Parts: sequence; structure tokens; C-alpha cells
Amino acid sequence: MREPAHQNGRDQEAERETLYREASAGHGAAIARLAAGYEADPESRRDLIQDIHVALWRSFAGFDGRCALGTWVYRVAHNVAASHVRRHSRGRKVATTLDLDAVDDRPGPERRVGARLDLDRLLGLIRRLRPPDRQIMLLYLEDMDAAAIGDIVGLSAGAVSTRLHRIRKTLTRRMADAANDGGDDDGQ
Amino acid sequence: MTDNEQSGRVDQTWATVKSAWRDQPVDRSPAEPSAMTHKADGFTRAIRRRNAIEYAAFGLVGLFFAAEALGVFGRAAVPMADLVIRTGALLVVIGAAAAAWQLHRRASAPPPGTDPGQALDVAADVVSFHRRALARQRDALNSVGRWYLGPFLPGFALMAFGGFLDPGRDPLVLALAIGFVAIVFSTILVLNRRAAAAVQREIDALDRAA
Repeated sequence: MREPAHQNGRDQEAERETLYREASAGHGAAIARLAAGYEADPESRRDLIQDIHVALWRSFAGFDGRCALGTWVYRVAHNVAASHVRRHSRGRKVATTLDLDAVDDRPGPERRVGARLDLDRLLGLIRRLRPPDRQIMLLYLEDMDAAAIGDIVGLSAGAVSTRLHRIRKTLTRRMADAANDGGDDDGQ
Repeated sequence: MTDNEQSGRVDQTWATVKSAWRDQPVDRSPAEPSAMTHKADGFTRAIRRRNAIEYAAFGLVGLFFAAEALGVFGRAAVPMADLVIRTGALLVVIGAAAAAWQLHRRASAPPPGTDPGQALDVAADVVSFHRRALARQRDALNSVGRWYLGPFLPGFALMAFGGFLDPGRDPLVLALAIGFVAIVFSTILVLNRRAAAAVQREIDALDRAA
């Protein structure tokens, strides 16, 4: 016997609520960190976190389980965050793009960094990366491997590894240079 | 220091950065589903308000030309010219309505994923989603002549033609008015084309990265 339509609707709503609670409990902190990687202003960051949660809530109406819950959450979060940056960069001073291809590839400066890496400064540099480099780096900081990052971003694991190697090297060098100059690299 | 030692040291440094990243204090939002529904409804209300402002702006343009179509500002000396000018003004009113609808359809998008229609699109992989967003933006900018300026053209052209048929109108004032409209339209077109080219460069960079 078929269930009445309203019963079916209630079940779907309950399932959506379960998914949302699970995602929020398991990935809420990661979403907040991710928002910090996109938005420097605390008030706008709170708005961004809210936008991500609303988008997640809406999206779970169509979650079909073809990818892991975490992959789904990170895709939604990064897509909403990237759109947020696009919308809010209009009328605001746009930070100089950190163009990885233009950076001198000198060997060995990593060792100068040592323990001087400063998270705020690093965040400033990450906020200046272009998509998908910014997403790759933020997911790497969440301790994901290249295959998991590739699933979220839509690149092969090999492509992610190559990009990651270059981004990491460039950021390390920029951090070392900034530390030596005592400069402020905060973006946005 | 050997290459292996150096590489190990870099890995260790990044491991420290990763733990610092994960240990940072974060501002966790309240995550009650009821709050999400309320927030989503709030978006819908905000979008309606924004749309109302857009419609009001186009409404003012429409009202002005509707008044012209009704002959409120005076009539042309020659009946034929009068008919052409008023028909042109009526077409401008229709054009304003068409442009307002197109602007609403293309530009008044809510944050992605907060609109029920986009709820699934936002769960696509990051590169595809970003590329699609850029392509939409590029296409909207490239076609601004068709959907934003185009609807006004038949009405303006007909009004200009009616103006030339009317011996009571100063040809210099008429030429200046036509020139002004042409400059405004051309500027909008050129600026949008430039913006579209910049977006295309971004798409090319994304394709190269992928």
C-alpha cells in the first residue's frame, strides 16, 4: 500500500533534518574555518557561515548519497563561499592576485621559514589565491588527501598534488619573505 | 642539509600549520533546522524587496513615456508625426517592462543554494560550479545590448523619426537628444564587453589550471 503523500513528505523532511544535523555537528567547525579562509571581516564572515548553512539545508532535499556527506558539505560550502567573495568584491578594493605562475622558483627558501609561520599572515595569502587554488589549500589544511580534495574540487588526484606542491612552495616562500621584511600580507 | 632532510622539515612545518589551523577558535553558528527555514524565508523577503526597487525604477521610466504616449507633454503639429511619436513612446514603455523582466531574471539572484531552484546546482564540484558561474556572468555581460538596451531601441528610433516629421521641433535639439542616447548606449555596451573579456580571461585561466 502506498503511503499518503503528506506522510512521504514528512519522512523526507525528517531525513533532511537528520542529514543537516549530522553535517552541522560533524563539519560545523570546518565550515567556520573555511569561512575564515574566504572572509576577513568578522561580520561578513558570520553572514557567510549563515549562507552556507542555509544552502546546505536547502541542498539536502536533493542529497542522493552518490557522494560522501563530507564531500557534499565541502562542495556546497566552497561554492557558496566563492560566490560570496565574487559578490562582495564589487566596490571593495580587490587584493592583488597571487599569481603562482609569475613567482620565481628559487630553490631552498623553505628552510628560512622554520617556526615563524603565522596563521593570520598565511590566511591573508590564502585569501588572495584564485579558485580552485584557494579551495585546494583550505582542504589541505583540513588534512585531506589529494584524492578527497580532487572529489570536492573536480580535479584528478594527480592534478591536485601538482597544484598543492606549487601552492605550498609559493606560500612558504611568501611567508619567509614577509617574515624577513616584517610586511603585512593580509588580503581583502 | 640534504634534499630529504629539507623536504622533511618543510613537511613538519606544514604539519604544524595544519594543527594550528584546526585548533583555531571558531565562531560556530546556531544550527537549528528551524532557524535555517526562517533564514531561508528571510532571503525570499529580501529578494522581493530588492525586486520591488528595480521595478519602481523601471516604472518611473515607463510612467514618463506613458505620459508622452498619452500626449500629456503636448502634441506634435502634424497628426502623422504625433501618431509616430506617441507610438514610439508606447514602445519605450513596453521596452522598459521587457528590460526590467530580463534584469530581474538574470541579475537578481539570491546567494547560491538559498534559492530552492539552485539548491542542487550548488552541490556540484567546485571547478564546474565556478566555471558555470563565470560563463553565466560572461554571457550576461556580452548580451547586454540584446536584453537590456535592445528593448528600448524600437521605441527611441520611432520617436526620433516622429521628431523629424514634426516641423515644430528644433533639428539641433533633436540631433543632440539622439546623440546623447547613442553615447549612453555605446558606453554601456563597451564597458560590458570589456568586463566580459575580463571574465573570459578568468575562465581561460581556470581551464588551464584544470
